[in-house]
Order: sequence, then structure tokens, then C-alpha cells
Amino acid sequence: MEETKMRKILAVSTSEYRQVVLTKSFLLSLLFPLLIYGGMFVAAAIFGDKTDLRDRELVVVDYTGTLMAGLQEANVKRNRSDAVERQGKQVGPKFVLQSYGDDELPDTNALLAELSDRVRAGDIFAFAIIGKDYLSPEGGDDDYLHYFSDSPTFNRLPDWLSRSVRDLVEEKRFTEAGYDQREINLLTSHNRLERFSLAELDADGNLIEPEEENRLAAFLIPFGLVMLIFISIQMSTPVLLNSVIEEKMQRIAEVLLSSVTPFQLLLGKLFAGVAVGLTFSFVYILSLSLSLRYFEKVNWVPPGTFVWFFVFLLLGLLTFGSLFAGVSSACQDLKDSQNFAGTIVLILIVPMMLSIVTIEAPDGAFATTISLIPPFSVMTMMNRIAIPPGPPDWQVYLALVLNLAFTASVIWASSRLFRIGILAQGKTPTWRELFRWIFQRG
Amino acid sequence: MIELQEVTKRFREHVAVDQFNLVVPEGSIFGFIGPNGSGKTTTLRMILRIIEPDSGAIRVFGQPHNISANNSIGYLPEERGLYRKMTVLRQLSYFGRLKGMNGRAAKAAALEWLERLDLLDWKDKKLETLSKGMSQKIQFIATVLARPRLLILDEPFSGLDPVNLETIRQSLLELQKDGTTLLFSTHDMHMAEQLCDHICMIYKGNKVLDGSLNDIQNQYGQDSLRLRFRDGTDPEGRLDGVSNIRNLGRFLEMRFQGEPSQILKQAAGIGELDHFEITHPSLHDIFVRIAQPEPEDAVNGGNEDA
Repeated sequence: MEETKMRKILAVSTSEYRQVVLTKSFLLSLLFPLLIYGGMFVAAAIFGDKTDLRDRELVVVDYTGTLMAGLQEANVKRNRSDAVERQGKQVGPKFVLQSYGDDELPDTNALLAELSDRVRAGDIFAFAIIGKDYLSPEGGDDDYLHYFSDSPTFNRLPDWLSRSVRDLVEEKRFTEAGYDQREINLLTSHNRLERFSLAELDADGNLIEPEEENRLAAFLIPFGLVMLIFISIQMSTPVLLNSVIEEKMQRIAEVLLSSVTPFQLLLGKLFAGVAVGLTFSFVYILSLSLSLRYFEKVNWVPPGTFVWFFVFLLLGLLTFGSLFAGVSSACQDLKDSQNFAGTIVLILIVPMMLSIVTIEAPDGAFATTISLIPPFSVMTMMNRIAIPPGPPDWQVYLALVLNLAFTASVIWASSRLFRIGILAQGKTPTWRELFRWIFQRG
Repeated sequence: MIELQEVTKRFREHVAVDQFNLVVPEGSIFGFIGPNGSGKTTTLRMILRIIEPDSGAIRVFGQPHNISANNSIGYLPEERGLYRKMTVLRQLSYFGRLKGMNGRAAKAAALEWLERLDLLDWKDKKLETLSKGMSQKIQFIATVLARPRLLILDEPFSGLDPVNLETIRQSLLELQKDGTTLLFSTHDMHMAEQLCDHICMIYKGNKVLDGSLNDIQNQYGQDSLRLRFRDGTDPEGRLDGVSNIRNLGRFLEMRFQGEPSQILKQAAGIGELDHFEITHPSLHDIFVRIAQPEPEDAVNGGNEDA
């Protein structure tokens, strides 16, 4: 008997699941991360050692008349550095600096036109103009450093030029002011701040080297996981919202209910919705995981994060999925159900918006409280778990228990709504009437 | 096969079915008739356990009813429902699996029925590409796919052209011959007369007729006349003691009071008669009499004035 019931639930699930995952839009949504990450692997494998090593010719128009020699000297030094040559093998492009000429310079417009044409013709890669007041500490109308090229994405040359000119200008100003540049360099030199995670001891008492922190990853990983929960829940709505309405509007529900109970039908749909959401997330998490492994950045994600991700995602899918199904069963058309769904989605958006706050202070009172309150905790606790060192274990398990209880209650309430709503005709009920349905007897 | 005892169902203040008793014998073709809103669909839904009665007992296949019995019941609701975007074969397999069949058996049965109803070429087409008549046949296949012991059909012939109607009718008769009990609700009294060996009428939630067609007609006696004039003369207002004259196409049917020989005489005086028959009231007439009762004095009204 139980086996027959399960078979029917499974029949509903597989049919609904196939109906969603075999659509072009769903398959495309799955291909997206594979294309992005897969493309990166392929590109890295094929083009990894195919850096464009062509020389980059830069014409410098130096109206100060004093910087060119220093720039040439800096460039020679660079062309011998690791940035260009490593272990006898060229790894980066060399820069070739040309001065525009020591003779009298033409007016700026003529100069711009002429050099731009040379860049377009491929004669040179780029050109730069240093204004005549550039060295003056007080500035002036012409204290500019302009760089012109038609390769806006190539940053190495302008970055180097900017650094080198700054160093030269500082040196000249110090010298003119009577300071010894080398002494000042010594006095002011320091290394940039480097951020690390906490040190740990292994089982033998040896120190495990702290990992260098990556600020971007520290934000993107927790935020990305929360976004993925949000999108996965949204992906499951076709099963739980549109198909329920279709079955009501097309009068299929009555045929179905002559074979399965409303609860079996709801469970079948719910499982299908959960499977759709999990499939979607699994592909993304797998892609992310493989990428991190490939780029040796596994340490960006704290251990156990992905496991908890799927646990909380499952609870979220069950909670919101049953809500979508229960409420849409009471509606008479798609427009009504979308209105109700909009309100439910708001509940989903709140913790996502709060992510900005919770990522900033994951162990603060606000984040801690929100991360324990279902259904917000599905996302907020995920946020906290993904940020090292993570919340205390008891908080994670408390959130889990509270969410389990909440999910069970929502499924129960939705099954009550579904039982009445799926056959109800006439006007769409209000929220107040829906609540009455939940507790209606018989 | 089906037994309802004192079954009552209320929707808030409205009593949809009131202490209703019904016995559907195994192997019968049972007509369940009644005007719109009389409680037919509610009763069928209770038999299917789609909704629960407020009181009373329902037994199906001799057992207190539970949902698992539905695997042996095929249900064709009045408002047809199929997935428009799903292909025919997938759709039928799905409905078969919901009746407890495994996927392979459901598919095989679906193909067999599609071939039988000449729809095999459409098996991989989405339902939205099919004509209304074809969709009706697909819905019918979905109902009978799992070889049910009991078929509950709500207006099975509505919307069908004569060819498709005959196809479905023949299929139903074959199923009955193989032992399936047919319970169908219809407004088509002619079809009910032709097909059903037992008829029950429900009106305002109460049973008002129950028995074989002969039993029911005998209850009303031979108070009807059928006659036809060769030149199509309309006798309206010209025959004493007759009322409710209805043109049934091939002949006129009317109720009468008094001596039929007097009416025959009068009719012969009006025109040349082709057909004169004293008969039981048709099921249609009985239905109308119950669902649209007239004041006693109206029986002779039209003719008394004449």
C-alpha cells in the first residue's frame, strides 16, 4: 500500500521534474556556469602560455623636457625584470620608449592628430603627453599626464607609466626642495598591509601557516551562495506555481485527484520543485568547486560550507515550495497567484538584502538573531557559515532545528490550503481567508 | 459495486446531497441523471473520495471506501482536463502511472488504445495541436487505460460528433461486456434510455427516481401520446385533454388525460395521421416533469382555452 502511494508521488515528481528540466530555458541556465567556468579552463589550457609578447612602442611627448631620460632608465630596468623575463624565457611584453623629438613641438591639436594616426596605422602602440607644469608642486594649467591608445584593456603600459612618472616627479621635487631622495625613501618605505586568517596548530602541535585573506572572495562567496539559494528557489516556482494553476484552470486537478490524494499530489510537486532547485544549484556548486580547485583557491570556502549550503537550500526549497503550491492552489488564475507569490518572494528578498550587513558583521547581535529566525535564517545562517571562522556550532544546529520545525509547519499548513484550494472555484480568497482555510475543520 | 447509505454533504448552509441512498449493481450500465446543481457531481466526487461526506457511509467494491480503491476506478469528469503542452503518449503514460501501473505497462496500454481509436499517428504530438474531438478521445483513453472495474463518466458524450460518439459508445459497451461497471451522469436522456439498464435521478440533493427504465416508466403509466400528421400539421390547441406538446422531429409527443379514442377521433379530423401511439412518457419527459413541475391546473390549460 505504502509502496503504491510512493510510486504515485514519484510519478507526479518525475513528470513535473522532466517538464521543467527539459525546457530550453532551464538547460540554458545550467549551461551558463559550465560555459563560463569551462571556458576559463579551456582558455587557460590553450592560451595559458600564449601571452602576447610583442613589443609595445610608446611615444612620449614631454613638455617638461626633463622626464624622458628617467623614464628610459626605468624602462630598461623593467625590461630586465621578472615582469618581462623569467629563467631566460620572455613572459611579458617589452616596452620601447621613443621621445617625440627634441626639436620644437607642434601645437597640441596637430600633435594629437599625427600621433593618433600613427597608432591607428600600427606604427606605435600608444603615446603619452606630459604637460609642462607637471613637475610644479603648485600645479598649473598644464600639469597633466595623458595617455592615448586604442587598446583600452591593456593596462600594463599605462600603469607602469603612471608609477614611473610619479617616482620621477617625487624625486625631482625632493631634490629641488633640498632633500636627499634616497634618505626619504628609506624613511618612508614600508610594505603594504597584508591580511591573514588566524593561525592554528595541527594535531602534532605544529603551526599551520595562516592563509592570506582575499577581501573580494570573503564577500563574493557568502553573497554568491545566498544569491544561489534565492535563484534556486525561484527556479522551482514553475513546478509549484504555474503547474498548479494550469491544473486548476485546465480542470486537470479533478482527474488527478481521482487517482491521488491532495497531499500526495502536493508532495509529488514539492519533491519535483526541490529536485529542480537542487539540480540547478548542484551544477553551479560543482562548477564553482572545480574552478576553485583548478585555481588552487579551495581555501576561499570554509570546510563544510557546501554541505550546509545544500542542507539549508533543501529546507528553503521545501518551505517556500510548499508555500507557493498551497497559495497558488487557492488562486483562480496566474495573475492572482503571481500577486501572492510576490508577497512570498519579499520574504526571500529581505535576508538577501540584509546580506550586506551580515557579511560586514557576521557575529554581531543583528546577524546572529536573524540567522536563527526561520525562514530568514536559511540565507543568513548560510552567510555566516561561509565567512570564517563561522558561527558557533550550537547556533548552526539551533537554526537547523528551528528551520526543520518551521518547514514542517509550513508543509502542514500548505497541505490544508491545497486540499481545499485545488478544487475551489469562484473568487480568489484573501490572505485572511487563506488563514481561515488552514484551521478549517473537515 | 457501489453502495451509499444516508450520505449527506453540505457546503456551508447549502445541502448538496441529503441522506442519499444508492446501490449500483456490478456489471450494470447505471445512468445517474439530474438537472444542473442537483448534487450529481458532488455524489460522484464523494464516491471517488475527492471530497468526504459529512455523514453516511460509502462502500465501493463491497469494502468501506478508501482512496486505494481508486486504482480500479476510471473517472471522466464533465470538464475535461489534459496538459496542453504535453505529448499524447507521455500524458497517457502519466495518467496510467497515477493509477498504479508501471511505466512500461502504461505505455503499452496507451499505444493499444491509440491504435484502437485511430490516433496512433498523433502519439508524439502535443495535445494543443489536436482537434477537440481527438482530445475527447485522448481523455477517454486516459480514463480507461488502467482497465478499471468501475467507470464513472460525467457527460461522456458531450461535444462529440456522431462518428466519435459512436466510437466511444461502442468502446463503453465492449468494456461493459468485459465486466466493467459503468456509472454515468448525463443530460442526454435519449442516450440514457438507449444505454442504461438502471437509472437514478437526483433532484435538489434527494433521490427522486431509482430503477430500471421500465420500472420508472411504469410508475408514470401510459399517459403519453405520439402522433405524426402526414402533412406536418401542428395540432396545438386543437386537441382536448392534451398538454406539453413537444416536437421530437419524427413525431409529436404529448401528455394526455381522458379517453385516447376521443383524441384519436379529434386528430383524424385535423389531418391525415401517419402514426398514433399510446406510450409511456419518455425519460426526457419524466425528467422535465420532475425538474420543472407545473401547477396541477396547467395540465389541461392550453387545450381548455381552445
